[in-house]
Amino acid sequence: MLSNKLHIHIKFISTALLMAFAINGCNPSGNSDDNIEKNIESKIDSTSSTLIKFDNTLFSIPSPYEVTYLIKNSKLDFDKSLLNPYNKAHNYTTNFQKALNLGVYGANLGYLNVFEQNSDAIQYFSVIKILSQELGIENAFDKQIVNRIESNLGNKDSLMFIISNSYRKADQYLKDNNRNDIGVLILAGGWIESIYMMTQIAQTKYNKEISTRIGEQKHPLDNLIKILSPYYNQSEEYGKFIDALIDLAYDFDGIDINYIYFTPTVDVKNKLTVINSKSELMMTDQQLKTVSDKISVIRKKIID
Amino acid sequence: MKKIITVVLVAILAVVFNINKTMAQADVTNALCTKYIKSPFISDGQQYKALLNGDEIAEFHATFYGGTTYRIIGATGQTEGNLVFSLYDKERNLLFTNLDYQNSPYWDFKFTSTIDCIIEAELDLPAKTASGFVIMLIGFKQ
Repeated sequence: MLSNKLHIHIKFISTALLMAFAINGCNPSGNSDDNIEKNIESKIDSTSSTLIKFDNTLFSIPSPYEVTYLIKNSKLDFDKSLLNPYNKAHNYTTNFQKALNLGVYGANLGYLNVFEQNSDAIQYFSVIKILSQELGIENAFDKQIVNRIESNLGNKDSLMFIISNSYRKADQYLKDNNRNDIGVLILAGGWIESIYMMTQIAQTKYNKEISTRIGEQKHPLDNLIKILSPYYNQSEEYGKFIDALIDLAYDFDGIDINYIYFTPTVDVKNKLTVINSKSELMMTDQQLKTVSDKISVIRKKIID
Repeated sequence: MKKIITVVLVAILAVVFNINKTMAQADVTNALCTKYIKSPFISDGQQYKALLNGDEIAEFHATFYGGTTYRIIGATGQTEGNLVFSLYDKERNLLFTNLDYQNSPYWDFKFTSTIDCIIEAELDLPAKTASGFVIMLIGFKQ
């Protein structure tokens, strides 16, 4: 009798669970929309969450693509020697190397894109796709994205939009799936590469805007160290990498930034606020050289 | 035995439906934000997410470059207007709060100089005991 009742209960529980999982399996946002963006969003699992969170404090790293626009707008010539050659990608065997260089190649792709170097851009995108597959984040760079990139070659603004969104989706995926140790390395690789490109340019041709932008990395570097620091003890390579960044931060500490607050102005109709506050950077040539040299050393360890 | 089975069943169903609810909320909130990252704005490549309870405040530390216009987007829950976000400089001068503009889900900022800022985000829900994921995105245009 007891076993009969138990059997009925088990059947009931099994049916209820099946129904629950079936309901759970339904995409709440639906999947009928053929918009590519939404399709990609739906492929990325967001059921769980791991945050870059320190007492509810999060840190932002400026996009490497902002730097590539600055380089382009400074009327500087394209210089392929600044890039990490795409054919070195097969040398990267650990997830640590792959993630850092996925960031590096992303910054390179942005640089190629703003200078409309389309044939090289395809090669770099192929490498990015392979590395992302090897890291298990291929959904951010899937076939639909490849098609969109191919159909937008020559339209650098659209291409930059697609690439940056792909990196954001990879970032989202890694955070949502408790793999932010990889996500922060991609950010770090992109940041290092963009700063490396600027320091190389600043050493060969003086450009005030670029030199200033290098000095302005003082706080982004602090933020980068903060988002990496939870992984300091994850492996020796994490520890050494973070130590190198901390050493670099000591040199940035000597750079002064004067700040004066001015009242912002608001354009309500266009939902725009102009931030009128001013900052002034004070950096010596020696400081720039020291920072540049250290960035080169860190970057060499990443790509070699 | 019947009681134990019932309790286990209720617990399992509660967990499953809670996961479903959380997933639905995160996906809808994400969609609320991403629709405002559109050309000419380019994502900074990151997604900022925090789980807030009641009147907790999330802080986002960011550097904004001079000469660039940024779009800051924030949302929580399944509809717009439930999130208050405010922008401060490093001296804690208030530069902007969307509270002055019906909790607008996005706002654009043109920076004349490079400035380190703090973005604060908090829930603006009727029940102060409520909790939810906050998602924020930053885009830029030249």
